[in-house]
Amino acid sequence: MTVVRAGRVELGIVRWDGDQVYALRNVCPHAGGPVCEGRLGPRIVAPAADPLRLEVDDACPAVTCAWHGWEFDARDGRALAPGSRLRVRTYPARVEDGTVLVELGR
Amino acid sequence: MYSGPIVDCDIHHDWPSQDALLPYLSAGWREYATRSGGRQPMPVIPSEIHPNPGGVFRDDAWPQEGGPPGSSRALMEEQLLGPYRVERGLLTFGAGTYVAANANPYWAAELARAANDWSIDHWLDGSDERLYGTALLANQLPEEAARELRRIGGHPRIAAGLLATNGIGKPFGHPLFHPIYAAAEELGLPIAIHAAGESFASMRVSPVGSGVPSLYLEHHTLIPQGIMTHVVSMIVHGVFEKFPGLRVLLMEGGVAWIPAVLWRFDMDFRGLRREAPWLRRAPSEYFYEHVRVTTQPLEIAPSRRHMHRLLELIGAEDILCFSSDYPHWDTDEVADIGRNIPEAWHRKIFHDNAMELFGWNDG
Repeated sequence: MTVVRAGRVELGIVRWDGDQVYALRNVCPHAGGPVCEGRLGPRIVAPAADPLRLEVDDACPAVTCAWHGWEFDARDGRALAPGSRLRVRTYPARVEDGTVLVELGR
Repeated sequence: MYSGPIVDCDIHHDWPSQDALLPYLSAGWREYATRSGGRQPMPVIPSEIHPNPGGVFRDDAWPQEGGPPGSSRALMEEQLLGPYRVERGLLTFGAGTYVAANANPYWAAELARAANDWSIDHWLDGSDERLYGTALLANQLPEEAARELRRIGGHPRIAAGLLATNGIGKPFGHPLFHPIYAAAEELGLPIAIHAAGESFASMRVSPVGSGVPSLYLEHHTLIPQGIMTHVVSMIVHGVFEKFPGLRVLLMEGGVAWIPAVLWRFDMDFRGLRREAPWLRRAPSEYFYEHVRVTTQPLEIAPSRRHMHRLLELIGAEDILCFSSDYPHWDTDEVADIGRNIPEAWHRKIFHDNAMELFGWNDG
């Protein structure tokens, strides 16, 4: 996960599962912290709701905010904690000729 | 004043003398309990750390015929059941409530079994259709407690399993307690958790955080701490994921803490979800679906406006169930509680919420 600046916007660029890229605004919807300066890893899950059997969901890149540890799915920005409706802003991103292109819109 | 039907969720009934338990003990335990020849009392419950300087009972609740408050059905009728429309009352024991404070787990299990049989014989024989009972559970040995709950849980007048003291020094969410919840769910009975159970010298733990209080006033003011610990523990450990049919009734732990703890709980969960990924919902959602809370002792705010605002923040209309705590010194009166709860909620809090919790609407 790399933080870059595009004009006035700070973005976190997440590379996942080899060739997948995602772009998130580097602002946590919780308290405005630098969400993309935290950690990136697969989402920890308990498929059978059994504390003795934790696994990871490799399909889900979990971004953990640097300030308060809130977690977000890099693919769509949604908070991972059930019950939270907060969402990090995300932007369409793709790789062309070795360059990450992000559509910031207007 | 509220004049509709009432379900009282916490009435402490008691034996006239602890010798009343003797016929219900096995021969060996009876010999164990009486070997001193009466020179020292049968060790039913260890000493409390904080004695109330005025005693724990209402002064007017002592029966003329002797025995402790709560042991006379006639006086209970005169002081509680008769004056109000108490259509159903849940009996929660007197001296025996904290049986899990006994250091000896085998004696505690025998006491609980004997107390339950005594309660069924003397209070739940159907001669008073208003009275329902709890199954006293000595949770030092959770598998035994589950066995005891299964033994009597099918009795038509047993309405809940009763936990008070944490007999293994762990909050009630710990997996060691789960056999009890499995039995409760299987039987369709709620688990009632009665507060203040850790205030016994035998526990070797502080009943509240940060150290053992010195005065009863400190202890009593801080009783909600223990209830908070148990309910947070149950949610964090995923008890309601594992036992989705389980319902819990918190007793005597107050209500004003509920918004503060749940707001903090939900907030912390968002930053610590990865530590408990087995939770599929926000902590507060488990609380409101699975937990109900008795009113006594209701914290009374300095103004009616603040009181009602507090109750709104709690979501009181849907989760509070009236309790008197008769015959204790801090018994709540129906009229007083009625004045402090919005009238529009009276019916639910005095009656309907408990009826739903105990499945009594199902006939």
